[in-house]
Parts: sequence; C-alpha cells; structure tokens
Amino acid sequence: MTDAQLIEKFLNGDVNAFNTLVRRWEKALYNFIIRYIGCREEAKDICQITFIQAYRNLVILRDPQKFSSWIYRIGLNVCRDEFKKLKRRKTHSLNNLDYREETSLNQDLKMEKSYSNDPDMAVHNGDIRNLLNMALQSIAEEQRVVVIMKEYQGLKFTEIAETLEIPVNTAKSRMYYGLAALKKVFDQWDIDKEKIIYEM
Amino acid sequence: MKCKFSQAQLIGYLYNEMDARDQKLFKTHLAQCSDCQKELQTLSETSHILKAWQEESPHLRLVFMNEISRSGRFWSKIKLPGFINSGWALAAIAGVVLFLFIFSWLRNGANLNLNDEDIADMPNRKQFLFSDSDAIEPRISDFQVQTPENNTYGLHATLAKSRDKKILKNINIMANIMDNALEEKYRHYFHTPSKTQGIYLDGLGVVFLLDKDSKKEFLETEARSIFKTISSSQEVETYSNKSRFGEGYHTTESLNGLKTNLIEVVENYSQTLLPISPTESVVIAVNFNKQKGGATTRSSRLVLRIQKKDLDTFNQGKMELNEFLKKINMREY
Repeated sequence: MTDAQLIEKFLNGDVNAFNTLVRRWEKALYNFIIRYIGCREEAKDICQITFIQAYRNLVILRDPQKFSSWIYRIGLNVCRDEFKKLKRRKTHSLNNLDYREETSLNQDLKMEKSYSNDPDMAVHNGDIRNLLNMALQSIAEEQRVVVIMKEYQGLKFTEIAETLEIPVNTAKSRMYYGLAALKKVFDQWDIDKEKIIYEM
Repeated sequence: MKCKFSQAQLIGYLYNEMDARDQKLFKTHLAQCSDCQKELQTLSETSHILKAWQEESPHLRLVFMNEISRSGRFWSKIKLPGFINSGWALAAIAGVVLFLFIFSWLRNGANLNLNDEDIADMPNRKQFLFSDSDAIEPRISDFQVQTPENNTYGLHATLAKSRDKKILKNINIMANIMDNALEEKYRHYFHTPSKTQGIYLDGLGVVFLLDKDSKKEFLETEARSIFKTISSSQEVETYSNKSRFGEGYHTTESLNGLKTNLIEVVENYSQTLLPISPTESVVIAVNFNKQKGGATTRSSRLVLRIQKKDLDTFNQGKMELNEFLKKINMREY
C-alpha cells in the first residue's frame, strides 16, 4: 500500500494506517535526525515529536503523494526548534538549587570532543560514526541538511529541493560546498578513503 | 572551477541526475579537462567516506491509538447524572476528557474490558500523551470511543488493563500523598483544580497527573517567597511577565520548589511504589493551565521521570543523593 493510500485510510478513521506509516518511515527519519542534530537521545525525542505533529496535521497535507518531503520538513523544523531549546536549557541540581549549563547535546559532544584533537584515535577505535558526526556538525547547517538528505536518505535533488523549498540548482550547489567543506575537514584530520576502509 | 560547467552540474553528473544531453556534453568535456576530473574524484571520495556511517535502528516503540469521543451509541450506554444532559454541561465535559496516547507495542489487540466505572469516569479525565522515553504532553479534546464491537480499542482499555488491584491501590495512595504534601505547602499560593491522578500502564510504569492553575499565579507567589526584597506588586508583575515567555531567572527558580517537593514525596514514600517493576518508571506530569484573563499563554507542562530501578538503588543506600538527582529526567514544554 502506498503512502497516499495509507493516508487516505487514516483520514477515514483507521489509525493503524498511520501506525504503518510510522513503521515505514521511523528508521529513515531517525537516521536523518541523528545525523542532523548529532545526538542519539535527542534524536529519539525529536523523531517522536515529528510523528506526533504529523499525526495531528496530516489532515492538512494537500498532496498525500508528497508525504516523504512533508515528514522530512516537519522533522527538520522540529530539529531546528529543539536545537535552539537545547542551547538554552539548563539542568538543575535539586539539592542546592545550583545551576549548571549542560545540555544532553553537549554531553554527547563531550565524549566526541575527546577525539577532536585526535581523529586518528577515533578512526583507530573504530569510531567512524563519531568522526563523521563531528565532521558533519562542523559544516554549515544548510549544507549539512543537503548532504545528509543526499548521502544518507538517498533523496533526489528534486526531492531535496521540494523539501527545503529551494531551487534544485541551489540544492546541488549546497551539496557541492558541503562536500568541499567536508573534504577540508578530512584533510585536516588526515582522513582518507583508504584509512576509513582499512579501519572498517 | 574555471570551466563553463557549474558546480551544480558537476554534482548533477556525480550523482547521475543530469539530463541525457548535458550528461553527454559533460562527459566529452571531462575527457579533456583534468581540473574537472580531479574535482570529481575528490567529491566522489568524500561521498564514499560519508557512507561509512551505517544506518541505526531507532527502537522507538511508537504506537498511536484512536481518540475516544462522544458518539450517540456510546453515550447511550453511560449512566450520567441528570444535569449533565444539558448542552452546557455536555460541552463542559466534552472540553475536559481524558485522552492518553500510549507508545508501546500492541500486545493483545482485541480483548477489551471496559467496566461501567471506567466508562463513566472517562469524561472527567485530562488528556496526556506520553512516550516510552519521556515526552509527555497534555491535550484536551473529545475522543472517539472504540468498542469491542468494532474490534478496536481505546487507550482507556489499557488503563483498565491494570488487573492488579494492589498496584492500583498503592498508586491511589501515592496520588493522595502527593496531593496532601503539595497542598500543605502551596495551599496559600495556588488553586489545584483537580486531584492528582495516578495511572498505571503495564510496561511503562506509573504516571501521576497533576493539574495546576496558572503558572503566572504560581510564579507570583513563589517570587514573593523567594525574592523577599520584592515588596511592590509592580516588581512581582514584572517578574511574572518575564516568566510568561519562559524566560528569566526566576522562572526556573520558582519551578524548582515544585520539582523538589515532588521528588521528595517520591523518595519518602517510595515503599508505596514497591509493586512497580524496576524496569518501569515513575512519571510525574504537571500541567499548568492557561492563565485566566489578560493575555493568554500556551498551557505548559513539566515532566519528571524516574527509573524505578534508580529509586530502588537509592533507597537501598547504594546510590548517593546527588547521583540519584542527576538520573531524574526533567523536561519542560
């Protein structure tokens, strides 16, 4: 059954049709979010929030054929909102009411920062994921989104352009600059294809 | 790039998203242009490195259930007091119903035992939505009933699923304790529109639902107690206005009082929660209702989640207080 058919069923009252959509898209959406935001725990929450929003707003989706672009767009907007909140959130010790500015994002990156001075260690330890996460987080957001959508979600540039509401050539340009920026980062860390393959 | 081909075209060629004519032209050009060859090679290698990050499985355990709402057939089964038959009363009830989304894998789909007591109580409950992790969000609206006849079931069936009377009894005791503890401390500060409710959900644990009046009022009274130098109502108003937008030092400061008390209740009366499995959680969800009069704000909520195993470990003296407090997950929405 296609996404459009499932949506139609859902709008006619079959909530299990929506659950099928969730099953179908949760992995792709989660992997998009985790690469965008760089934090596993937050990615789960954001994924859930995205589906909740989709559940509530599916009735206003004009073209059910465009569900994929729509769900990615919601996911991206939630990511951006949550990212702003993450930067502001404080955790509190209830014992003495003292404040520490520490977000779960920072906690995740703390682990990763131990590799930032030695990416070789990350590669040596088989921590390819952390390494690539750091690299992706270091490039401009608008480039990162396109790179993730292309390299990991396998979207066509027309789909990326539709999701981000930008011209196709702009999407391709951002991809170019994103890859170029990543190349610089990999060069700084002396990472190349052979090293990655060897360590994998 | 000095060639006539743009970066966008280079990318289009790399990912095979170029129309056939342009592709042919570019291929011809590529054969003669070392710069483009080099550039393409570099981009291709970078792309290859990125692919080393394998996909992960989310393990979301996310399931949506139908909302339960008024339907003629359903409501005919409920014995309601006579005054509720008025339009106003029904509208009021319709505005205050319980809707709970459960995020867990469906285990036994069709068996549904809604007793009359559960059904009759449904209009009086508030909506909460929560997940297997800790995203909890209140909603208030009508909901559709799912009955055994049409072979689907509403989330209320899961609420009714707690067949263990002991668990239900203990949860009710804890809910009352929570009410009394907070009422004692805060009775001069804010109005509690409804009693704390405790709900047990198999596999998740216990959820305590608290309803509090306007956060603004709460913060005003907290501001007075915390900032003793404040004497003018204008200053309090200023602080409270800051809190309306979720900003300002005192917003967090004021909420901490409530958080501390809630945690203390759970710590001190944890024996009441003994029947809860260590793999489950104790969740406290506080819903701050919209401000009455004046500018309206979104209702906001505070969610605390404690893993039962952490509570047990702490109570056994195997965990320091500071460490225990760090393990408590708090979110504000």
